[in-house]
Amino acid sequence: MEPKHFDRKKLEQLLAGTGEPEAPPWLLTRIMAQLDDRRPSFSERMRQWWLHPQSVSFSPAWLVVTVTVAIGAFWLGTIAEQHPGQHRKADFTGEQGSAMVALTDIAEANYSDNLPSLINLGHNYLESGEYQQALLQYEKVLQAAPLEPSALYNRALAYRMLKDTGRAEQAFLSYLDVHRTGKWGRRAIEHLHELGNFTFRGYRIGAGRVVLNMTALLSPDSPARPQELKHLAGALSRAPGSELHLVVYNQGNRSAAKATATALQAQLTKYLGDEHAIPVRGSWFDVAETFTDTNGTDRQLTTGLLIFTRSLEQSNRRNSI
Amino acid sequence: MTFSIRQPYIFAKAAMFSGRIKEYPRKNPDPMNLSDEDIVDGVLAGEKELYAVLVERYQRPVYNLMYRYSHNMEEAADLTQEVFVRTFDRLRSFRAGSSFFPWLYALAVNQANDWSRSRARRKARREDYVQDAMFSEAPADQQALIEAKETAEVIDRALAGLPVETRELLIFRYRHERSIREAAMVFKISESAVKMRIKRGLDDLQQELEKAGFDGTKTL
Repeated sequence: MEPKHFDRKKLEQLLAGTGEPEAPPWLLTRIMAQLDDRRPSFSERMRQWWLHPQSVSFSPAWLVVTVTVAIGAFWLGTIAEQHPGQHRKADFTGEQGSAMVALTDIAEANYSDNLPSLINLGHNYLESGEYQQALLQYEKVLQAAPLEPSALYNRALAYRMLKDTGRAEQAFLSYLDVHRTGKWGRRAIEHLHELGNFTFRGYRIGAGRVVLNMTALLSPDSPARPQELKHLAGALSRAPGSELHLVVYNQGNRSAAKATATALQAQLTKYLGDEHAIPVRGSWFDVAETFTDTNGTDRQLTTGLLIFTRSLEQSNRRNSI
Repeated sequence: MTFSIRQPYIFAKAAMFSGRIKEYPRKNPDPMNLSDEDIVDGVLAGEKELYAVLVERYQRPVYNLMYRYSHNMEEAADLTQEVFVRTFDRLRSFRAGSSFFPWLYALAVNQANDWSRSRARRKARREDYVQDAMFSEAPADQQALIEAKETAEVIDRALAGLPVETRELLIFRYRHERSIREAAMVFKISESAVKMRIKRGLDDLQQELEKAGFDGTKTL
């Protein structure tokens, strides 16, 4: 075909006049289906929630009940506000002294109801160096809750700060009678050892550590002895595959040492029972026990008790040698 | 007996006053008579099904654009679907007062360019395209049908010989009857650049047609 020229206007008309193929007839359905399947984004849902009118339906009965409950709650709140049960709010923004007075008023209103306030007041007195006042508050706490740990411990600390070593010793002993674990248990033993009291000692049993009343264990008639043996048996049950060694020292009295060791061995075996059959070995010496206390000081005790465990594997190896 | 309270209605009204959302004229009986902008407002107001009107109006140019890029019907359909879904997601960024089609077409061109860059271009199957071509304006008789088809084939072949950007610019300007300004917006070039490219494109197209021995007067 021979090339033929045509003007620009015709070319533009030609371009505009040629159509395009139709899109597939199913395309519209597919696009709309995809839009329907999609869950709106979180922001879109939030936007719709805020901008679109929302309807709330309720029945008159529901409205009456709700309004009644709300009015009742408000009324009860008003009554509680008018009769606060002797509680007054402390103003802590003023001087420390006035805050203390306010705290005291609150705390003394009713011991059993205000233990946290009393304890807090005791702590405040202790921190501010008013040890007698602190002791007073801790005693009040212990009247209502004799086992309260912070009151028991801080009472001992207050005596210690007052240089009343006798009472401090007794107070630390009281604390350790009921609380032996954790940081404060260790600190209480340290303080007692500082004061030369070795009633309580820490022993390594297996991977753990147990605090025992050594004096009670060495005294056959002590009422606390069974309890201490139970503590020891409990610690042993958590150390399987080991054997226990009880070493009793009694300077100049071998037979007494032997009697104590044998009795402890028998009683402990009984507490352990058949279920946790751990070998218990007893040893006795007629010399003083030498050991390093928790403060790192070398000590000598005329009567002492050393308790430790060894793994059965170690013991067997030694036997075979 | 129950009572109802329409609580945050004021928020919706406030948004409408602020211009973010326009109140959709719900009383209009036929959505097909609505303008593109009214439909967008309706969709934004929650009438999602109205979006089908926009898809129906513009799926053909978008699909053909995608086909010119992909030369594959399935691929073109997928890309078209993606364009309309993305457009739906971005409807909120559509500026009231502007024209919807150039905005949609700009998104479609971007999508096509992205696709083109990300995949190896497939071998052209221009013949399939021409064979599959159907005409919306049915010619009065068989002779006219054949002539129109021949014309379309020749034009499409000539267009295919042009650079992609020029081809798309010519199609947008003449086939979709859009202004220079809209073309500048869609193809992200200045209006003077649009004019220059169109002039050169027409020159090239004319040369292509003349090489093919096309008699332009035949079908006009």
